[in-house]
Amino acid sequence: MWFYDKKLEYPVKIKNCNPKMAKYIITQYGGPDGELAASLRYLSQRFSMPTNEAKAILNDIGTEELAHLEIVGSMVHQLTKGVPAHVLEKEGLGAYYSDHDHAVYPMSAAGNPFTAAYIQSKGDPIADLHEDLAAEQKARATYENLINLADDPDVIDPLRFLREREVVHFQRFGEALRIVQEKLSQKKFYIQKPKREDEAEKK
Amino acid sequence: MEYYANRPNPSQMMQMPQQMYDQFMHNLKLATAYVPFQYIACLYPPMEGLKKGTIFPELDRPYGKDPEYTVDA
Amino acid sequence: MKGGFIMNEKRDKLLKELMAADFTVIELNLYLDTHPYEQNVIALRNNMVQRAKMLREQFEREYGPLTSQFGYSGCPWQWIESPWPWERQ
Repeated sequence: MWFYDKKLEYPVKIKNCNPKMAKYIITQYGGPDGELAASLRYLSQRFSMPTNEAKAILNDIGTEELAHLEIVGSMVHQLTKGVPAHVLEKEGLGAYYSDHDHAVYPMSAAGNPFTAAYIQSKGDPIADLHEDLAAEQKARATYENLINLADDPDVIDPLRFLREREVVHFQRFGEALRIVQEKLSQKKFYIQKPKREDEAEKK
Repeated sequence: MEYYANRPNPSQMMQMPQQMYDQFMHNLKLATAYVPFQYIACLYPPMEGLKKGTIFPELDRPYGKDPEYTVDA
Repeated sequence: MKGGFIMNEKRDKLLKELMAADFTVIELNLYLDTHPYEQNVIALRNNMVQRAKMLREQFEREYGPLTSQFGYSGCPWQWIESPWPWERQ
């Protein structure tokens, strides 16, 4: 279960509002390669992982992604707080403002609402871990794009932190894959994948 | 990158095919991806680690500073 | 449009130190998840946990609880007090 620690993992102190940046950064809140997708993906996949190391890493990285979700949400909030409607409209957030006012709503930069179609939980640990490796690279690339779009150091600073976290997560998933691969090769998994779990126990 | 291009290939040095070298030396299999294990060396102090986004210098890949890692730095 | 900050540099500084200590523990935890037999790293991590605990107690004593689950509260209910982490502080 989860407890809440009343502090961000990394400080977010944005002094100047920038609705245009908020429109882009929100993609890491509810977009295809964002933190909500990441945490849901890992926390869902952990149930079907075969080794303690893999279960732990999916559990713990999934938890950390929730903390990142909070950071991204805080950034969007601070970038738009107090900005009047006509300025939001001028900066391209008119449609968002109509439906959500100054709220934070999970969607991509293009305006697509969050969907579980952004994630997969395949049940095959090799497939799932490869998806996780890809997800971390996509998130890293997205943060680099956002860093390219930003020019305020208060905004770039947390983006750099989040980008570096993706690099480290990739390394951990890579190690988890090594461990799972070795464990499964010992069981000669690929020779005959059992149809049902009780059949696997009989072997 | 030039260093790696000019360094002698171990399998060439031992005069055996790359695949055979991989299988003997690293027990690598086809159709399988491998990420090397990290082995901890030294750590950044906590404040520096937080600022950089990692406590491990060997995993510190800042955007724009590592040409190997970023496409359009 | 500039945002206003509640200036409390001392609180800020202590919280940032706690953030750094907790972050170091997180990083070591993730490393240990895939390297469970490394005794030296476990000792290092336990040391850092002790440091984080000390900083946390120091912070909570002065500025109120950081969790609603652990620790005691005065009246009125301290957990709901400002600032919340996403607010400009």
